[in-house]
Amino acid sequence: MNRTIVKHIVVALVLVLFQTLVLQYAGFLSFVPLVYLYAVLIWPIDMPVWRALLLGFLMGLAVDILLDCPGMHAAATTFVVYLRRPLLRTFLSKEETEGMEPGERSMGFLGFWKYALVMILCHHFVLYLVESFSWADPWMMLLRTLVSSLLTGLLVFLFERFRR
Amino acid sequence: MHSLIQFLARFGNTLLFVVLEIVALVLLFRYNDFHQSIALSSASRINGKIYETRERVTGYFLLREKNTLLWQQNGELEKKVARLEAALRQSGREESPLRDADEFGYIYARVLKNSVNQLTNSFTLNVGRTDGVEPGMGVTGPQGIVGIVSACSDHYSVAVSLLNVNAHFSCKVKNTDVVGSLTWHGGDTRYGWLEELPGYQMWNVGDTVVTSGFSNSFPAGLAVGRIESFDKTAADNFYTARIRLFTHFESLADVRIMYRTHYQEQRELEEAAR
Repeated sequence: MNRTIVKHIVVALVLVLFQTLVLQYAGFLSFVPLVYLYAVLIWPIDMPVWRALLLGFLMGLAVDILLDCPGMHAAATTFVVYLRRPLLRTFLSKEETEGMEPGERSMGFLGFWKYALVMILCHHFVLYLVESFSWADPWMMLLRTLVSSLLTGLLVFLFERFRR
Repeated sequence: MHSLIQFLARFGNTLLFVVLEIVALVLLFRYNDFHQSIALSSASRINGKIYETRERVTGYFLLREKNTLLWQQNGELEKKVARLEAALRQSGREESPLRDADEFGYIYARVLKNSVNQLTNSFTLNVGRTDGVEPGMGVTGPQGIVGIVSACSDHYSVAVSLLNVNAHFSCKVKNTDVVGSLTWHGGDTRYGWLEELPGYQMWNVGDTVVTSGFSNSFPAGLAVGRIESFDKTAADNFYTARIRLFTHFESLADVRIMYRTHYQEQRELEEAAR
């Protein structure tokens, strides 16, 4: 149990640094893949919710601090972490096993991608909604949500190809 | 007591979720206070170190372009010096016409981290309070103004970029008294918007936009961009012009922080007058 939590913290750290130091510069216009979310996607199904919430919040806060944008990523990430459990229950076709990590292999291609896409879309939507509170351009916000989600999805797809 | 434990067991996670979201939103809505607390920004020691290391690697990537730019800029400056020297000789004046420029001094800085794809963009610089930087100082790049310092730690500082929907910069149309407020509307990093411009006859598409000098951050006449098109605001009689910014924000690397040489004196005077 302790080894899995250490592993997931390391994965989260690496993805946060990859996001803030590399990916943030690879976007075009206002569209950026937000791939640190992948860490949240693959947390074990039975990770205690309070632990997932705290980890998600801290991860978002780390991204916020590194990008100088307070609270946004923390709010969005905490939100989808809260959604995770019910979503997994909905899209899990197979039997839930102890310590199972969501993925194409464990959930099936369709099951995983339904879950992943809803998570990605919700996260990006909340993020851009929160970011544009003081700024009303709803079409731009929706466009950013869709395009960025597509970019994130592509990277998650790549990651899944190289998994194990 | 028993019922409290029962309540926590049942709603504890939801409670934690709500508390964390509230913390996040409080941080969000107190953005400016947040920037004051250095520990939570990229001016903090750890963050500064991370971005300093990153810059040491990526600093080499665009050297050719930067070199060309500096070369061009140098050429422009040499031309200007030659012209000024000629004008000085002609007028035979003792007093230098450059007195105005002397009012401002420079602190040279490197950009460690720079964001362009948020709505409220900012960049981190490798100089801080020990180098004489203070919040409120203006930052200029090779092609024009780029932002204003918003927070400083001892060795690093964060500046609000021109590409920030909440930031406004006082600007004017060159060679006129037409003053407007420059801001950004998100999206395209090449364009800014000059808002609250009065009547159209006084300016034209193609005019250059420069700083107005009405703020303490910048002297008047620093380049900003060129008017490309305009819109009349529905609500009032003001115009909003689309400005093609001179600065390429994606490749921002070397900047200068401007400080008023007599700022301390002016502040003391204003304090005394109060």
